[in-house]
Amino acid sequence: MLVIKDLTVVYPDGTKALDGVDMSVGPNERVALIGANGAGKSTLLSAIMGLAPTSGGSITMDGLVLSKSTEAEVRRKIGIVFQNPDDQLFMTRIRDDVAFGPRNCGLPREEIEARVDGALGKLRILHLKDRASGRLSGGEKRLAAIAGVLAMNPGMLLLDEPSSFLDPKARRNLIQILSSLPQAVLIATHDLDLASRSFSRVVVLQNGRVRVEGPPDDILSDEKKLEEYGL
Amino acid sequence: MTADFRHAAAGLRALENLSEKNTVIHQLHSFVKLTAAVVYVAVVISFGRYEVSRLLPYFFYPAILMPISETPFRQMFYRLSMALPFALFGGLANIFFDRPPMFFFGGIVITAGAVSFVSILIKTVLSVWAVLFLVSTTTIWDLCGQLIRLRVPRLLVLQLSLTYRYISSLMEEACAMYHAYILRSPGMKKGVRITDMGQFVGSLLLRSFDRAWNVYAAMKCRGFDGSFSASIGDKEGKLKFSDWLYLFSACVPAVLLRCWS
Repeated sequence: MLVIKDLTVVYPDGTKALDGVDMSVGPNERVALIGANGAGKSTLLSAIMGLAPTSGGSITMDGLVLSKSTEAEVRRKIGIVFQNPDDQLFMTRIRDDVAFGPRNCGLPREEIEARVDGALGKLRILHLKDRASGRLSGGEKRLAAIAGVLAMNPGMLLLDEPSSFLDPKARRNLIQILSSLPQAVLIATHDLDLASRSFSRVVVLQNGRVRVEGPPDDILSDEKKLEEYGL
Repeated sequence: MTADFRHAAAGLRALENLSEKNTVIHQLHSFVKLTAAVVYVAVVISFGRYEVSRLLPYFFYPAILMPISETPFRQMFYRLSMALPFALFGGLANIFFDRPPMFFFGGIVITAGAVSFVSILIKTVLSVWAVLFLVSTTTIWDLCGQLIRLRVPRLLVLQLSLTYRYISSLMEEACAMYHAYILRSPGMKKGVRITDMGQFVGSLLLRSFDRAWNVYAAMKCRGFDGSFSASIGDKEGKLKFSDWLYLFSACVPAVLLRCWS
């Protein structure tokens, strides 16, 4: 379970990106983080992974408080898929890229192979295993990036704008896949349709604060409120 | 200029694609390919500066190995040609300063400088070919893994692999920026105005740093701890008979040719 308490992030230029965020994501829960540009969604995901400079508050994953000494352990429990899959796929072949995380965990070769096949199979892209990452379409790259994270068997998956750059068919495919994953999922998105279809809870961020949270039907049906939140 | 960036990026990708082929040579262990290349280069550069004729048999290597590995001659020749100007300028001085006549060819005096000039060119061609052949039949990650095995300092190998990744990110950013620049500069045919160059290069540097940081963050989130030891170089296993055979048939003739006068 992920618990965030009073989290504050201030960037070196003085910008307060997150201002006392309190939220939690339960085991196997699916939460969508929505908000206008600059609301702090991506910063929150980065902070959870220990990539943003926190200046107050705490992040706890399965009882483990995130700090310099625990960030490697936290990163084994949580996987993140960045907005731009090109940032994530850096090995030449998809097989090698998906195996990158398990290799860093020091797993034996057979286990790595099994994890690679398992992750690619789960996302129905086993046929891309020997393809060069530079030659994939946007949708395929996105799925390959997710496979690279799933191969590490994280208990929770964070996805930053997973439906951006996708055509409608690839987007539908992604929604189906996200719904079938057993892990807890936290996504940052502008895609209200995606949030309402596949997620059990929606958290609205505005100016670095949590404005409201609840079931998608309750929150996304109130257009006046959404406009107030900059959505 | 966009075309230049694209061309360079495509060239890098082309080399990567070549290294992904599945020929007999590609299937060999990267350790034997690296060792054979090092031995070959060491032997070639060990010849004296006037021993042109003794260098010629070493052209058999590219002649035999390139068809087997399905490496395109044209592509290799193009890359070789980029290295040649350095050898040309390096060797030209010999022609002017090393004047004693060495032999006559059809009534023309061939000076020692001319012979050493040809020898420098041949050595450059053969050495650059060996390196190009190595990188076009072995992936950069396998090479880095072998460098670690050969006890090259990990920090150096890490620098090499990340620089390689950074170059492609830098070129992609440069290409995107130049595109955006030229589309809003009607009348400009080519290049960036000198008055805009400072801003262009500064922005390019910042953007590519951002990109490099994102790549690094993605690596860290997947357990990368900066050592690279666990992540590469452990997947090829032990040397097979075919590996030993290649090592033997590549290195022994090269060394024998060097010893035999």
